[in-house]
Amino acid sequence: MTTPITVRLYGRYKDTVGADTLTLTLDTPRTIQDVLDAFTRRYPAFAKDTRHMMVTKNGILTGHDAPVTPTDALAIAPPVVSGG
Amino acid sequence: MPTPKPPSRYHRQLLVKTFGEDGQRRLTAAHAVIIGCGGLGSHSANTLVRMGIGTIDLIDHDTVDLTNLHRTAVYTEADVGKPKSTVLAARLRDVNREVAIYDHHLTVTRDNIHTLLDDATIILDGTDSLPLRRTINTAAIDLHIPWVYAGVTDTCGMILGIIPGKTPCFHCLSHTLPKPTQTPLPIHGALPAITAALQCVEALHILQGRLPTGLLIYDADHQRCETLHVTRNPRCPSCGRSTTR
Repeated sequence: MTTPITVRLYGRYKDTVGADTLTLTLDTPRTIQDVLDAFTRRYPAFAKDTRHMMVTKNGILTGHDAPVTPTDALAIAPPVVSGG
Repeated sequence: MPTPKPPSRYHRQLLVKTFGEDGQRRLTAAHAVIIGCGGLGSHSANTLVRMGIGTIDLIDHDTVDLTNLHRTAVYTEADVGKPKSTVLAARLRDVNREVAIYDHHLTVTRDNIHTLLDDATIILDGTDSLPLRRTINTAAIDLHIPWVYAGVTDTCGMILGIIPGKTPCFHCLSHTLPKPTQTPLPIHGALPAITAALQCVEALHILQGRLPTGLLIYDADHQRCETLHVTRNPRCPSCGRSTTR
């Protein structure tokens, strides 16, 4: 059984996808990491970011090992930038 | 008939309703520490000194390099090879002698950061190092000093005002730190000025007792500024502990 998960996108992710939101269809996602893996499978150019992506679940910054359900509001932003 | 008093140098910003006399008083009473005096830190220092911050410490271990000049407004070719903090302090003393300006040509470490932040009321991040930002974050939490993260890479600027114990900290944002894949990093020449201006506005809001806006993501390529509204990660290894203090 597959589950649709909608994520809001920020920064260059939004530009590449061409939309504010993206719906991913996953096989029983359990954690944020499962969602990120589905995201980078679809957009392999972002795979190098995966470990460091910023993710909010229902507005709260969260680790990638946090559990996720289809009703959670997820947002994904690129990693923090470092130059000065 | 007495000569009318000339207007204050801050006259025009005193007219701003959301800043005004109260904002100026708070700014004059404030002590900012700027860590890193490159593209971001030099612009932020310039703004805060011109606006009338009471005291400012400028810290950088580095010297001015020719490759800095495309994204800074203060340094010149004649400054190449000189300590950034020293040059910046000298320039800004000529701008506003009402401000107490101290320069420190040194490297910030876990061992000296508490001393460097003594008496600070706000910290502005101008570094180019994510590990150093973690050090600032930890010290800010330990000392209960608000700070404003800012970073620039390519055409993207990010800003987050942080009030320890109240709002998400830098560690909440990123539990793992990305390593730069390109050295040196690409940086659009106009980006630090814009990002530093947004950083200063966040700092001013915090000094006025306002809560930070959230994570601001500015994209120079598309001329777009987004706000990612965030709340603390209750499992954050750094600030999660401060809730129990």
